[in-house]
Amino acid sequence: MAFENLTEKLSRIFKKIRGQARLTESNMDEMLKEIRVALLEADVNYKVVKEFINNVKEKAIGQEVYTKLNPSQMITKIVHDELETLLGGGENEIKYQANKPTVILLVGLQGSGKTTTAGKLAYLMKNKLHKKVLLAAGDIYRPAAIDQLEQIAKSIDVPLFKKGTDVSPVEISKEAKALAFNDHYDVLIIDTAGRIAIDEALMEELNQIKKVVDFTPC
Amino acid sequence: MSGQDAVNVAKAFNDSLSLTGVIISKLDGDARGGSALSIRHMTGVPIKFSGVGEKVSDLDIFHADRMADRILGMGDVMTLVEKVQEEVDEKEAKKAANKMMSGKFGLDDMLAQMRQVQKLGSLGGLLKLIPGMPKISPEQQAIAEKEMRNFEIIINSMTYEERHNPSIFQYSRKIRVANGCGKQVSDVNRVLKKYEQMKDMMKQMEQYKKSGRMPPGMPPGFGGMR
Repeated sequence: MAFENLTEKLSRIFKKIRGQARLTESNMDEMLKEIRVALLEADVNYKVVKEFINNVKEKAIGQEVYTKLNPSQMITKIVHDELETLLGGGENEIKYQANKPTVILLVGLQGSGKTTTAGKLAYLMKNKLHKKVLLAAGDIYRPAAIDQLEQIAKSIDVPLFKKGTDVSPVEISKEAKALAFNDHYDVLIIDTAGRIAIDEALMEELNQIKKVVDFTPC
Repeated sequence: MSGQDAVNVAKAFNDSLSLTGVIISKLDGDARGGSALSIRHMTGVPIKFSGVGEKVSDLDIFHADRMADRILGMGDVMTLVEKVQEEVDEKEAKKAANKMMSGKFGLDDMLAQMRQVQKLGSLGGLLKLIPGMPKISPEQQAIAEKEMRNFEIIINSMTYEERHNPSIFQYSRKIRVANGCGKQVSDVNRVLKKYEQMKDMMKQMEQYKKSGRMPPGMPPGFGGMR
């Protein structure tokens, strides 16, 4: 699981300050330095780390951590809250459209797991959120991508819209959207081919798809 | 898994397409996970889901607060509760609990309970969700899982009579069971010993239930897990 190293390091840091009767400015600085190193080692972007540390420091001073009876718990709470904001905070759930299908367009690099995730998403939405889901196979470039999605769709019992590899993804998406609308699906998940962001032709294709499926932010 | 690069890729895609959400796939394969922490801040796009395994059910809705809990090693009881609700058949669980409390607790009940726990996923992943649980190494985990499998094999080689009333076990029966499943008599003994321990614990639990106190040193609700 992710964050293993980070968890370990952070708990070691917190354990250290727990042993101290009170928190002074100097050992607080030292602790923050250690947290910074831990975050950087966990591959967090340095700009993010810098802001994170500043925020923690500011909050800690603002809340008069030094005079609190149990400073280490206070610090843990501040770090926890900051991590939460960093990860998004609040509700992140998808807002589903009321009267038309919610379209999810999966984009990303080759091999990042779009087709697999399409299946997983369909499974989650069908079985846990009780939505009516339609999958659309929009990857016409990679050999057997459609077959792969077909196998997944069959195993989780979700309908799949496919048109073979001779139709353009834009056309496929358009028809899939129309079908999803007419048959009252709640969610349409479109799998696309992997691509890199500097490939302008392929990125343009995605923009086209976005347009034809009448994409609304969710 | 691509570390810092994941953030750059997300940024690039966001610039030309203006994304509305991010799915972090393969989060289980990345021991560092820093991109998950950076991506929201650097792109402004919220994380919606995270892929945590290879199975089709291994996709979780992303909860920032729970993830923060987990990063700080505080466990994630909410996810555990949801998992249990999803996977465990409530009626079955109630029936098993009643059976345990009434003292009529056989070997196949123990097996059924073990299977329920197994349904929740790997032991290591499960323990991570419980706050204050000691960490176990992958080796220990492998041993524990192997032991569970052995239990299943041995119990499956017993007759109906033996499973329901293990007190009838004498040496000859043990030899038969051991031969039947290709294990040693000592393995069979271990299963029986574990069963006795569990039964003892049930009895204690019952007494505690009567007196309304919790057994010492055990988090509530985790009686009978071992």
